[in-house]
Order: sequence, then C-alpha cells, then structure tokens
Amino acid sequence: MYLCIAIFYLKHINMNTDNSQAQMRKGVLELCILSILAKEDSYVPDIIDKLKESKLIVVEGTLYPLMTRLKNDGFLTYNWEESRSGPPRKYYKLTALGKTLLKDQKKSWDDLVDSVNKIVYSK
Amino acid sequence: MKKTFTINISGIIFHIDEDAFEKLNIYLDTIKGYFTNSEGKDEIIADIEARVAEMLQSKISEQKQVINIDDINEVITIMGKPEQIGGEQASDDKKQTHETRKSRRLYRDPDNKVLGGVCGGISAYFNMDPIWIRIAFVVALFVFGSGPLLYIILWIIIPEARTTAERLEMRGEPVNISNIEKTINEEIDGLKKRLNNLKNDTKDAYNKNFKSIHPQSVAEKFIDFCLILLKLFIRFIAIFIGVIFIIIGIFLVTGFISSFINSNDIIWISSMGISNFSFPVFLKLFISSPAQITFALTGLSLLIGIPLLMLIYNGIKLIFNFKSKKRFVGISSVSLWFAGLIICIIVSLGVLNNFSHKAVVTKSHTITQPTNGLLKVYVKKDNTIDNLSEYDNRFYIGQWNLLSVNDKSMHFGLPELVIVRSENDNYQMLTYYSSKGANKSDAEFNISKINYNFLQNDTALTLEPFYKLPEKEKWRAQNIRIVIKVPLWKCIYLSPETGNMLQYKNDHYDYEREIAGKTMVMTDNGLKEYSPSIPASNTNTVKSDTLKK
Repeated sequence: MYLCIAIFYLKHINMNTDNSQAQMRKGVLELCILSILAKEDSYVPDIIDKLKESKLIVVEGTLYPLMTRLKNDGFLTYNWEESRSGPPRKYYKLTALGKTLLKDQKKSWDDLVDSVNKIVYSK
Repeated sequence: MKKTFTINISGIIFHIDEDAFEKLNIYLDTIKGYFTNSEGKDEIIADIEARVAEMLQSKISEQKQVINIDDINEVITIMGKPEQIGGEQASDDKKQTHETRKSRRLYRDPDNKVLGGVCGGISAYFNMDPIWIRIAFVVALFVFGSGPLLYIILWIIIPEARTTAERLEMRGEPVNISNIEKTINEEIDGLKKRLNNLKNDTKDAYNKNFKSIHPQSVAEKFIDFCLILLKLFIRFIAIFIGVIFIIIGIFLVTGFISSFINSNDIIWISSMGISNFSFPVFLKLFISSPAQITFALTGLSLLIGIPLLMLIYNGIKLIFNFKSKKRFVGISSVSLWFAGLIICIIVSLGVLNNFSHKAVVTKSHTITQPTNGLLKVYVKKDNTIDNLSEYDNRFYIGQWNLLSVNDKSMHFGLPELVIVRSENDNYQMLTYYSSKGANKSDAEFNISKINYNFLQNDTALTLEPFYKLPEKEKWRAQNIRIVIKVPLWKCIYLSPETGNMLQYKNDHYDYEREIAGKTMVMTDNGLKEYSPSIPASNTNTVKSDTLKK
C-alpha cells in the first residue's frame, strides 16, 4: 500500500518537469494561433501549415483540444463551411474577447522577449 | 487478398483493410481514453474524426478505393501520436489527466473473467493474481455466505473495461500507443472483441443521442447474468463428468497396472483385499514362448490402456475446459490402439493354431465284477486340496483348474464322470483322454502328459479327484471323461464326492448332483434311485443292509 503511494508521488514529480516545457509551448502556441486567426479565418490544417512554415513543429492532433478550449472560453468562434473533399470544415475566427486576449498576450510576449533578451544577451 | 470493413467516420463511408481498421480503431480509442475526463471531449473527438475522414478522403481515388495501413500510418503521423495529443491535454487539465494516465481505475476485466470479471478487475487493481481474490470470494461463501451477494453488487457497480484505453487504465499502465499495441498483441481474439467494442461504441453513441446515461440497462445486465449462470451450470456439469471420468479412469488404470504384476495365481488377493487378475500368469497358461508373452502383453496394454488413458485425458479436458488444437493426441492414440488390436489378433491367431487339432485316446479298463450287483464309486481324498470352492484364488476354464496351495502352483483338471448303460452284463470302465494341439501328434503328445489314476478293490472303485499336469504344461483344452457302464438292473453307488465330476443327466434327474451319494439302479429308462419296491433283477437282488454302507 505504502509502496503504491510512493510510486504515485514519484510519477507525479516526473510529470511536473515534463509539464513545464509543455506549458511554455502551450503559451506560445496559443499566441501563434491567435495571431494567425487575426489575419484570416482558418481551419486547423491551415493553421498547421502556417506553423510549419515558421518551423514550429506541432502535430495536428494537438491543436484540436486547444481550439476547443479557446472556443469554450469565448475567445474563438467558428463557421461551418462545405468542403468538396470530406465533411464540412470548421473555420475559426477571433471574437472580440479573443482580440483582447491577443493584444494582452502580444504585449506580455514582447515584454517577456525583452526581459529574456536583456538577461541572455547582456554582457 | 484482404478482408475489408466498411466504416463510417464523421458521416463518410470508407472501405478499409482489416489491419488498417484495427490500427485506426485503437488509435481513436486511445485518444478517447485521454480525453475521458475533460470537458468538450465529444467535440474534440468529433473534430479529430472529421479531419481523419478528410485526410482519408484525399487518399481515395478511382484506382484506389480501399484505405490501407499506410494511409492510416500517414494520418497518424500528421495528426500526432496519442501521447503527444494527450500531452497537451495534460497541461490543460493536469489533475484529471494525471488520474487518467497514471493511476489505476477499477473496472471489470472482460478478458479475465469467470463470471463477470469482478475478481479479474480487482486483481488488476491491486496487481495480484486473480486466483486469490476468487478464493477469497469462495471462502466468503462458506464463512459468511456473503460472497455471492457482494459479488453481484460489485458486478452491478463496477463498469466493464470496454475500450483498450480503459483496459490499460485498469492495469495502471500509461495509455500510449506502444502499450496499446502490447495489449493488442496479448489479445489473440482481439479482433472479435474490438468488433464488439465498435458495436458497443455505436450503441453508446446512439444512447447518448437519446440522453440515456446507462449504456447497459438493469434488464440487460440481468439477462447477461442469467446467461452466465447457465454457462456456469453447463461448466459445472462438464467438470462433474470430468471428475467421474478421472476417478473411473484412475481406478481402472490402477487395476490394469496391477494386473501386470507377476504372481503365482491368476487371481490373487492383494493386501487391500481387492482380488486381482494377473495377465502374465494367465498368458503363461497357454503361450509357451516368453517373447510371445511379452508381445501379447504389449498388445493388451495398448488395447486396454489407451482407452483408459483417453478417459482420464478427456476428463482433464472437461475439467479445465481447454480445447486441444493438437490433433496428434487423438491420432496417435487411435493408431496405437489399432497397433495393440493387431498385435492381439496376431497373438490370438498364433494361440488358436495350437488348438487347431484334437486328439482323443480311449483306454478300456478291465474291472473286477462286483458279486452282489453293486459297484461302489468313491473319490480318493486328496492330500493337498480339500474342497475346491474354498479357494478363492482358483482359476478355471471349464473342468480345468489352476490353483496355488502353499505358494505352489498346481495345474489340474476335474475329470468328467458319465454313467451309461452297459451293452452286456458286465460293468465296464472306459477313459477318454482328449487334448488339442497344433497338429495331431502334438495333441497326442499333450495327452501323454496327463497323469490320472484310479484304484479298484473288490466292489469299490476309487477315482482320483483330479488329473494332474506338470507345471510347465500349457492349457490345451485337456480333458478326461470317465465312462462307467452299468448293466441293466444292476446297481451303482456314487459317493457324495463324485458330485463334482458327474455329468449324468436324464429325464428323472435334471441335476447331475442329485444322484451323488445315492444308490442307483440301471433301468430301461436309465438310472433310477434304488428302492426295494423297484423290481430288481431276479438274480442280483440287492440287500438293503448292504446299501447302508
């Protein structure tokens, strides 16, 4: 029984170190998605393509939960569009709330990059 | 050639190869497993499925109408491995996913079940051998009587692990593609089960559309329960029959093996009071060469032993319910049995050859004529054997006997005694020796080995009770027939001991032994019990006082 608990905690700690990276990636990814959508309405494969162009490698499956969460939080909304090759596609676009979020995130990103650069490149 | 399924993803129909279908199904199942606890699960899955459908659609053309495994692999590469997708989810929803991925959940284990998989699930949860949980439940039946009740409650409460992801959760293994694959490989009949899962999934989806929370209603569970009880009952009967098979089989095999023990007697009483039959001794009676005896024993052991072993084997099969795919057990046992049969036939033919010819030697004995018209026939008392019926280890074929007295084996035969009417006025005695053999001279040689004597003094004829054979002599249906001819209206007294030998029969005396111990007179109609009223011959009236002796 105690052994079980011990193993449980070990795994827990392990998870957290894994998460810090994922957390960072997630934050950046959110900003990227919001920025792409600010330019034009897109559906997930479009977003992927754009991310790939900028060498941000993300598998497509990763985006779906993220999109759903953003939508549920009211930052995104979508329209159904008929497709010739398959089921109808969800085209996502930013809501007003999403635009505010993008603005906030852009600002905090710039701040962060500034601060980090100052530390990383200071002589 | 490949088997193809038709599936519906996001409202679009695809033809898909069997292996590709399996892979896709596992993939989607696994992803579902990650999102079990997050809100918007259905939407995420629907989005992913729609995208999969779109990608697959692009693979289809006029020339290529079926989705193959390469297409699926490509889709998975683009979409990402379940743990990558789930990894993002983990940061979204840390605590819940953590539970999903890392801790065990209690499910009923459909792959490891006797009744409902409750014990299997509990054992998976505690990571122990299910047998202990099962034993605990059975013990609970006897100790508190609460085992079955608790079991049924747990059966109803605990959900069944239906998807592969759930099964991994049940075992506390992280849900990722490699584990899934491992799990799948463990399931030999995985395809069937997954087809069922698919059915259940569609059923689930259907139920959800109608806001039904419980995918399996209580009534369905009850029917399932009844079916399982019926199955269990059939299993119980099978086990019962199996146990009976094994018990009978073991008894017979022990008896059979013990019958190969060499002993003095054919029938001998073991220390446990069980009478046994000894094949080697039995065969020695009529087979002369030791090689042939070994041959015959081999044949017999196959002929009788194989069916007994098969009885036990089938009993074990019934009890443990394993289906042997190895046909060689059946084939080899049948062929061994036939080999035994052939050996037995060959030996029998050889033995029968020794019985093919019969020889009869007749000896006529002159006997002194009793003066008072009464011949008395006695049987000599044998020093070693008193009363045959007292020996329970006596083995006999017809008149022929094998008996061991004081550890000494004896071969002997009971002569037949026949009383007939004499064709003249004299008492006469004839002995017919008969035997069989491979040929005439062999049969005659066998006769020469028969040792039989009788004595006569005055009015009394004393017969030996048995004819004896040397111990090494084989049984060849040897026989001695003693014929005593009694003239008309003359008397014969047969002592009670002659009863064993008498073969006499006529209308008046149905039972041969009825004339033993009595004085008989020869009449026109054969022997009759003597009484003064019967008109005896004028010249040879028997005095009543002589009869008393």
